[in-house]
Amino acid sequence: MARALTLLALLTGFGLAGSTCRAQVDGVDLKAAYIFNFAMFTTWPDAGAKGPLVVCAQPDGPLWPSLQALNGRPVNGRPWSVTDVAHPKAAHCDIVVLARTAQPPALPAAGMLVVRDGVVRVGDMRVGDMRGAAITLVEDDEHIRFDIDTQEAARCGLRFSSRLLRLARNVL
Amino acid sequence: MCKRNPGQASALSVIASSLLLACAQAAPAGMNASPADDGTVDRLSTLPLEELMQMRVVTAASRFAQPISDAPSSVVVLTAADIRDFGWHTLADALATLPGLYVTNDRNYAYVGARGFLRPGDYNSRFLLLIDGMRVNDAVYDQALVGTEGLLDMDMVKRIEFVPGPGSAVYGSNALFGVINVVTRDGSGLSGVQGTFAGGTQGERKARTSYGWHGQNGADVLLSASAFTRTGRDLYFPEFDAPATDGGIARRMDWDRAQNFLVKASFGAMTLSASHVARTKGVPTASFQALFGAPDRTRDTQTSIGLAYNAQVAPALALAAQLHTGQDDYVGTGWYPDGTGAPTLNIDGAHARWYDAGVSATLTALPRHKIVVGAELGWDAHRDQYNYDAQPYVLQLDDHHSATRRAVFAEDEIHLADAVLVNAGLRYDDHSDPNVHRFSPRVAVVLKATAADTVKLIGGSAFRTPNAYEMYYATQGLDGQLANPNLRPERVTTHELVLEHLLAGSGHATLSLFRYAVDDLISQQRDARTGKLVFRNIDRADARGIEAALDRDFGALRLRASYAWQLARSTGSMGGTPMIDSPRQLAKANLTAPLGWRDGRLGAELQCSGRRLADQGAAGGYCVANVTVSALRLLPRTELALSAYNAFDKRYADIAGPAFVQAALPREGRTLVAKLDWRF
Repeated sequence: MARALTLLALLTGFGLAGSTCRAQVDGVDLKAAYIFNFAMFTTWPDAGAKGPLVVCAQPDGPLWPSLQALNGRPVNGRPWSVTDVAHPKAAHCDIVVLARTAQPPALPAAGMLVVRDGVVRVGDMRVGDMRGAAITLVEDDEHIRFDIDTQEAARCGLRFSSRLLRLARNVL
Repeated sequence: MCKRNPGQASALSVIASSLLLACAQAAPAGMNASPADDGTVDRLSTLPLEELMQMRVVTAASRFAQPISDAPSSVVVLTAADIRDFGWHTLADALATLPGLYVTNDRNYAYVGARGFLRPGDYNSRFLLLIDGMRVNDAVYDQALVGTEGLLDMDMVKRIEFVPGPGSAVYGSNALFGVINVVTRDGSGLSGVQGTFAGGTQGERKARTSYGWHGQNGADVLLSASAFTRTGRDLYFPEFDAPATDGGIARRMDWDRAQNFLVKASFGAMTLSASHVARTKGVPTASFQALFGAPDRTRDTQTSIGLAYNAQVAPALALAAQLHTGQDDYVGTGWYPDGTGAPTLNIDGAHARWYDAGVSATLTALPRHKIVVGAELGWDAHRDQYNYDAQPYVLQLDDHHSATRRAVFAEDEIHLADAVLVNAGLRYDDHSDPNVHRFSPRVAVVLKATAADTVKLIGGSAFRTPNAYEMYYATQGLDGQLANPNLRPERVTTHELVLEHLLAGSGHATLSLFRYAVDDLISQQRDARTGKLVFRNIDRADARGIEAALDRDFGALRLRASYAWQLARSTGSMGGTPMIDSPRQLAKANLTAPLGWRDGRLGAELQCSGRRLADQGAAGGYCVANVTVSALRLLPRTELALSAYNAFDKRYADIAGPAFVQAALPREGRTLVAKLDWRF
């Protein structure tokens, strides 16, 4: 037992000493890539817009660094531009990314795609959690899936491509 | 093993200082981390959605959004990824890795101990086992089936949630040391046909086929069937080493066969699920004074059918309702010596059928309150036990009982202030046979000392009604058993202090101090007058101890480690004697890392237990290591896993208990298994 405990201690200590502490990929990169894809298959009401595609998120949210890493990448000719959802400019968001626990905006402005990083909790995700978001990302059995709320999308004047609708897990 | 040698002491201090170091370093270390450093997200964003959907996510259990730090306990969650990474093939394998739990095996069933309590002769009745929220402890033994006799194929498990501590305030009887909730997978996770074939040493073979489908309207279907068989190895028992008993060698008698089925369909708020297991096990140990070398066996079948409704009916009101029925049959076929020593075939059996209905509402209308109220009705229609000699036919026992259960409960999670949360629960249970009317309270005060530190003070009480086996089982003969209908419920009162520290980046460290006091503990002993086995409320017992656990990621490496020190003693008339089958120390480590070849992953686990006392003698301390290399992508849509269980072939044993001639029973030696999974 003494030997085993030493091994355990070394293992624990070793890992900590290494302490490069890089955050896990943990699906955040994957989720950011999903959101990037959603943007490519969404038509906004002002289809002719040429300015940056404004992606609003919370700087302390888990997806922030991954979303930021895509800054400048063109989405159908519009450069991806991440900004703080609390920033005054946020009124012009094209995409709002909500963390799993954040409250959705009371009534999303027209033309705003609200994507929620879905809730995984003890007990299963319920459909009620989707309210206020046109797309909800869910972790399902080690994979990322997404649910689409077409009513919410219609209210914001958004149109999703048939491919996006086909690949969604649930379409409400 | 428990000798206090200097080496051990220094090892412990290294662990302690490592934990402190982790706490101190954690905050600044993670701040600079950026997952985007290596351009992963850049690469991923160029891939089509179809490809992204195929990618597997590495998710730590600490990631649950419903903050585990708010839970009135130190909850541990194990996922399908853990099951695959470590190659666990029973629920017992998974539970054995949890802090403070230990698992034993008598070559018939698997048993779980917690807080230093594991009573020989008990069938896991002190844990409540739920599958998708439905109670599956049977109505005769209150047995939680966790070994190869378990209801589910582990490949069909999405998540295992273990809530340690008294759970009677929500769940009623049996939730003495913890509640195990197993969540099954969904059709959407499978999306198509899957198959598994596994083969290993000791003639181990397993095959599974599963089908999952999910419609965009939310309809979901899952079907799965599996078969498992193992020949087992020859076992040597020195207690039976005589020419008449083949030198104490049980040849080809440790075999094991099981079939599992799962059907699950959900639409909207409704889910219908049915699961079934049939397991037959050779019994090589000559337990209950059976003839050594005779072809003894037990067969256990369990069926569980449930209909659940879950819906958010209003913004501040969620409703849940469920109907459930379970059936459990056990048949033990054994050869016993008659008066002249000639072998006589004896059949021992039980038939249990139970029905449960429950409804609960979660109300969030009041600011700062989350209130859950619920009611349950249960009917144990059959709690039947029988025993007879086959030739000549002699009926020994034909016992029929039924019972009803009623309960109401309420739980309130109150946010007193931003940093203070109180979780208070109370449940009233009304049982017939035995007549039990009991309130079970639980209060937890959760203080967020800092953004990363949580302090929990938890106090509660839980109970377990004596089961039909303990009360009514009786057989004739010198080696028989006496009934004891006067048994009282067993009660536990607990106090626990939990400190949780969230580590920046990912993971957490937990330190917990506990004291459990058990009254009217039910134990099997030999009656001094008749020499027969009997269950009695013999004693009071007390367990106190400390548990330290670390769950953290180091880059792509994930480590889950724990150490528990516990002292469990009888405190009644016997006064201060150590409990049997109770290790003073438990140490565990589970490590996963990417292999860097063919997408493979390495999972290594180490489980150490201190020495455990038996009525006579002791079982020595041990450390066993299991190693699994999983998810090797050799062909498209095909994955290979290779496992070595007890990789260093450590010889160790478990305490046998009063039903055995042996003081200890050897555990399994090294076993190698290869498993191939594919999907269409």
